Amino acid sequence: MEANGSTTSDAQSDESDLLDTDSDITSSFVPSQQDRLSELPNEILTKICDFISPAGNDSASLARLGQTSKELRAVVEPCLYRHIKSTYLPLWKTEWPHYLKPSRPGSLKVLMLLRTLAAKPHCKEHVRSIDLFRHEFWWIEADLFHPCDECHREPFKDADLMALGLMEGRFYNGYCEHRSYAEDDAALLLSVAPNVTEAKISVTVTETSQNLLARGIHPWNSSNSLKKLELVFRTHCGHRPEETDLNDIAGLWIVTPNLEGLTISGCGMVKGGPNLSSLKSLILNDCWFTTDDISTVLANLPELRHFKKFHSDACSWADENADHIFEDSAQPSEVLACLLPLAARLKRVVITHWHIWPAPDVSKLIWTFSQFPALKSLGIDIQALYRCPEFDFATLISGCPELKHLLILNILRELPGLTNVRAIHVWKGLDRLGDAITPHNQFPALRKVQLLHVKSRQAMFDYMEMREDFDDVFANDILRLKFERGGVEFTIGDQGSTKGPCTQLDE
Amino acid sequence: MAENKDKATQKITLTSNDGSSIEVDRCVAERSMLIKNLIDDLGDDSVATQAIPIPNVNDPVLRKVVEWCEKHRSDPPQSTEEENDSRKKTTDIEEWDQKFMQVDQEMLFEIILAANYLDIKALLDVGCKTVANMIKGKSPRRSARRSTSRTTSPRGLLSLWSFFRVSFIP
Repeated sequence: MEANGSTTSDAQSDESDLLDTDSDITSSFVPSQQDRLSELPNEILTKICDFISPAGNDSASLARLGQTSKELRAVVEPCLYRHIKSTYLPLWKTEWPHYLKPSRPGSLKVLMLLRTLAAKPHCKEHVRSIDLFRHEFWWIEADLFHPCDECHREPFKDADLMALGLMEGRFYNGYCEHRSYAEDDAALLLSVAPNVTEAKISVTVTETSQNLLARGIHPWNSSNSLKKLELVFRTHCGHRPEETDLNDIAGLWIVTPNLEGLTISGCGMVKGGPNLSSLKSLILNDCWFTTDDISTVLANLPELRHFKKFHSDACSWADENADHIFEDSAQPSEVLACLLPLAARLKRVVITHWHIWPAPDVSKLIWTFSQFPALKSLGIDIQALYRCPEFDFATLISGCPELKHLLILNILRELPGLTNVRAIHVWKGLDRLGDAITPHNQFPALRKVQLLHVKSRQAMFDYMEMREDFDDVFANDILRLKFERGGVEFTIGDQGSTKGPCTQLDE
Repeated sequence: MAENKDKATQKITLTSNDGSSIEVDRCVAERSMLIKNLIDDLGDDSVATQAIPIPNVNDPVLRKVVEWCEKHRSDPPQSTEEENDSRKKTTDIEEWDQKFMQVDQEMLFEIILAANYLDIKALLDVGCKTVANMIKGKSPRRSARRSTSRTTSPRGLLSLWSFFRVSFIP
């Protein structure tokens, strides 16, 4: 009996142990990160997801996290579809197996995405930005074997059917088979996702211009929410970059009525300016626009407040004595002349021009800047100015009484093959500007002067030639003090991006 | 000027949810927007005489948070929305912060919750970046098991033993 009794009590204690054990196993023995993550509030989880894949860079990790539980999937999904980013690799690369795994080539990836958006309509709402980068030598088979208008079938019908299908939540398989234009992918994404605010799209101009961007995305959704658009023009089928035209994608301009910021790269000309009534910022990178083109574009932009032109041409500044100068678009002073009709309202101007030959006409430049009385921020990224001894900062800004921020870039940049460049007059010009500020500030509105991309070695050589008290200049910040006494913040350094247009200018 | 300096070094007492008190400089405590707003609302005098209760944070976590605030006491004030966006683009963490975050994951999550409650955006960012870096590149299974305690607690060992005893011992 005793034995039985003891056995019973042991069994009971075992049972109670078993019950305890079950709860402990779930609570402490197998605690998983997913459980702990799920305990965090949703706003923190969203923040973590943003850090995992900040701009769609690591969506794979985010997708894997979403596979761990339903709760996490609900949090991850909006972040996962927020930034759509894909690269269209060239055909020969996609043929290699290791390019197919683990990530699919961009074109296929976008098709899969469209399929998902058709199947899960609620995901469309989450898409905020689209970045479809097309490799220069990317093309699809239909394009390759039936280029341009030699196509025997009418491929745009497939795109139309696809767009209509997506409206109804269906994916049209014929589109995959007979797709002809990568632009159609972008147009379909823009059309299907109603909340896209930013888009970066590569556009390849073809003769037929039968893609959806050229024909317009209507009668489907307009991209009313699209505020910021970056277009990278690519050439194809023997086209020259100069032949690309903004109006090759005329359809896009019709369906983006609320566009506020537009960046264009690699475009050549404008036959007729797109009417973008709400555009506030226009940036032209590597565009072969003549002054006429710029005037044509600007004529239809009544709300423009910010204009930036950037042109780089590596061959022109590799060797100062090179006689080959790439046929350039407008010179800085000419571009500014185009802006004159907008002078009364333009508040922020950045002029970037990286040719070192020929040197800009300084007197013209100074005259044109004096025509912008409302200017508050001015960025000068004109490399050849170091070759202009008559250039004077104080005279340059004398016509802009409301100027608050002056940013000077690249003038004292150490150039490859041009290490012996002396730019004493740049320092003298700065000294003169400092003198104009120190005793009684001639520019009361000026708050900030920045001279960036100055390499210290070159700066030292120049200063040594200019001033005997060279050591004092750097040790005691003589130049800086001149500005600071006048209440102007002065920065000098080698920081900032040396490739591409400056972004440091105050709004 | 002198008044500002006095204010910065003025001592403030924080009380955690388990009753222990920590005395910190006012400028350190004001890294927390919650405490800063509270001090602004209550006025200097009442804060000088009374301890500020922090009901959602326990003593060890509060001490860690205060340690972080001490280190970052001279950092510029919290940034604007635009800077927040640019900060989101990187998961780089300063070396000191990396070492600071080398704690067990229970503590890490507690710090994140405390930073969220106390509204210390920079600390919250560091915590979230740390978790994000842990999750990056992991498979779903590893991601789920990532935080499994490496040192099983005594209670866990007991449970484990009970489980084996019931399952395998006849």
